[in-house]
Amino acid sequence: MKVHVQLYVNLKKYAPADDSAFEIQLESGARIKTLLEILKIPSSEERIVLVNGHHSDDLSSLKAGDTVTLFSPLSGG
Amino acid sequence: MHGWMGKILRVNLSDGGINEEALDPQVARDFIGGRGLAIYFMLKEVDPNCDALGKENKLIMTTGPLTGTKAPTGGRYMVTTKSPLTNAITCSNSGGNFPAELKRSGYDVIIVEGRAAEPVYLWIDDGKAELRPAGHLWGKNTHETDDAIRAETDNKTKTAVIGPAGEKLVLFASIMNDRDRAAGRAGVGAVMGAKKLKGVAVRGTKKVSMASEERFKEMNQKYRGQFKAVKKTGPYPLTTHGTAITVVATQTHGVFPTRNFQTGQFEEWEAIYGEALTEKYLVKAKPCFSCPIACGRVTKVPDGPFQGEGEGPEYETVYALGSDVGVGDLAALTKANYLCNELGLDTISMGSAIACAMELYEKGHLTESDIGFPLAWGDGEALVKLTHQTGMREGFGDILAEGSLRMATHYGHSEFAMVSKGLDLPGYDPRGTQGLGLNYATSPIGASHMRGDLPYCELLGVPVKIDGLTWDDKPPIVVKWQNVFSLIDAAGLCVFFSIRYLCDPTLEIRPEGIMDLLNAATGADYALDELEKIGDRILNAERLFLLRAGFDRRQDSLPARFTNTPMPDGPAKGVVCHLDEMLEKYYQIRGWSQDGLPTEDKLKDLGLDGM
Repeated sequence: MKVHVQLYVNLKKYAPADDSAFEIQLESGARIKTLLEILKIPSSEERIVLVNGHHSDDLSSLKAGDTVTLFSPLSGG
Repeated sequence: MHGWMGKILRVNLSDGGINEEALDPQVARDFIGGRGLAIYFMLKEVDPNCDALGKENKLIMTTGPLTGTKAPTGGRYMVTTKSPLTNAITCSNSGGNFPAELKRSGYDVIIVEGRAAEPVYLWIDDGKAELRPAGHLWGKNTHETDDAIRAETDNKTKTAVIGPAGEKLVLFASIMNDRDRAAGRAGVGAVMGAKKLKGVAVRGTKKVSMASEERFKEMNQKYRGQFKAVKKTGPYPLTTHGTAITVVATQTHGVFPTRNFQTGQFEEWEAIYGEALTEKYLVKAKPCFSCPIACGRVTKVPDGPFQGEGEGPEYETVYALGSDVGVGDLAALTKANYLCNELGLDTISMGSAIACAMELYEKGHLTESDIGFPLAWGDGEALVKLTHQTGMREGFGDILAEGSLRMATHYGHSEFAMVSKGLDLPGYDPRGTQGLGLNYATSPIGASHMRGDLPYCELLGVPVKIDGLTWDDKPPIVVKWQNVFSLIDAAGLCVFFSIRYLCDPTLEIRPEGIMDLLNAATGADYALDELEKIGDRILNAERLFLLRAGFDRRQDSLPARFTNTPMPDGPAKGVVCHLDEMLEKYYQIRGWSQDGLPTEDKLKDLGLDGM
């Protein structure tokens, strides 16, 4: 299945190509942790995970067409 | 005393009297400083029903025990008064270098009372205070005023001044310190203007005495070390891009207020967020006193119709003068920010008032003949023009200067004013940040994000990430966070560092680091429970002022847009803010009646029963 990925702030460097918003092919029902492994994002890299803008975590399962957003924790506004 | 300077400076503008008073050590211990000491004196000395712009109101500047020390971010002060915008208590916090200089001039508290017959400014030179004529400064903007005061005192003088907006009693005028740092909210600058006080200028070279220099150094190194360790792992977003990077979190969660909060996602967000600012206009990052983060932005728009230079924009400004008015032109919103700094205006309420006017115009309740020109969403030129008109109270700006609620009420549609207790909402839609909705509704000053800022956990992942769409779990978190934020504001610290490095990394945010630094500085030997109780005391004392000023549960509210109208699209689609459900539980946890009144037992427990 295809999912959309958006990487922001310090996570941008893990994009496979220049564009930090891209599509990726995953096995049906794959979890976020699989995506993180494919993108080589180490567990030490702090990140916020959203699926379709909703609060999620590494164990959340994905569906075809989902949008996964990853960005660094921020501390001020 | 250690940590505290032990002195209050009382200035009576009506008769020119200037007196020093000793700070009662027990009051200092029980209220600490900042918001705490300020509400203590407000409750004791100011009639909550007074005219906010009358001579009976007082303007109180307070530092905390850690202001002016080497504690990380120990550079904050608080301006407290009765607000002319909301008629509630207000306290507005700022950093820069003025607060540390004020403390090191020898004072914990400055109480300004009465009203001068002619414009004056207060000059404090290392413990010697005098009132000087300011007729020649009246009409000057904040930068010109800072230049002039430094020229006639000392080039190292730090100032906190008003611009034309404060003089002309714009109800959301700010007090600008160090030229571009703002005590922005709820019209503290208008109170200063009503008193004919152009500003406060200070030189301070005294040292803040530490109870234990050695212990303070050890604790300072410990907590700075934790920050340094995180910074080593990669670029620190706040340092690299400033607070405007926060747009990433609000946009992706669908809570980035757009076109007067009609939606929560702005299609042009990538043109105005932190990375765009860094790429296009950043000159350098600028820290406040003793701050290792340096989120301040010195910027320059080099050419074009919105050419200029100054500081900003911060996240709140990017929302208020950007997405909320539909402006995707970073140059235009940055120019409007510069104007707010120079004229002395709160960027949040300025943007919110223009957004409200744009919606009134869109819906046909306000016409071109009322304004003098068309007012479509996204019109950067109109944004800049109206900002200038408001600061000068010219043309339609004279109406905007009354704030969004009075303006919308005047045109018969108060429902388009995005306010709580009359204060404009900051840049997070409470439908997708339910805990913040409760924060807005119960903040003593009206809609503030700085009274227990739940977006840290609901959006930003600090100290942990939780779901912003749930509400059942939020009341106990809000109570806890409001108390700790009161403590941060009392100590003289900045939230940005404190929340992540001086509190334990759970939703409890127990303020262990604040306790360590306060104890080393003051020798007060505070326990954690005692500090958390002081936070509770401060918030309840502010609540007492509010209730006496005529507020009650009915004003612990949000516009119907958030409680009755589901978010139309984006990740929070179909959701309203469940405020009533949260309020009931919140009052219970606070020890308040269901009318929102602190019970006698609660007041007694906090030592507020005699106040």
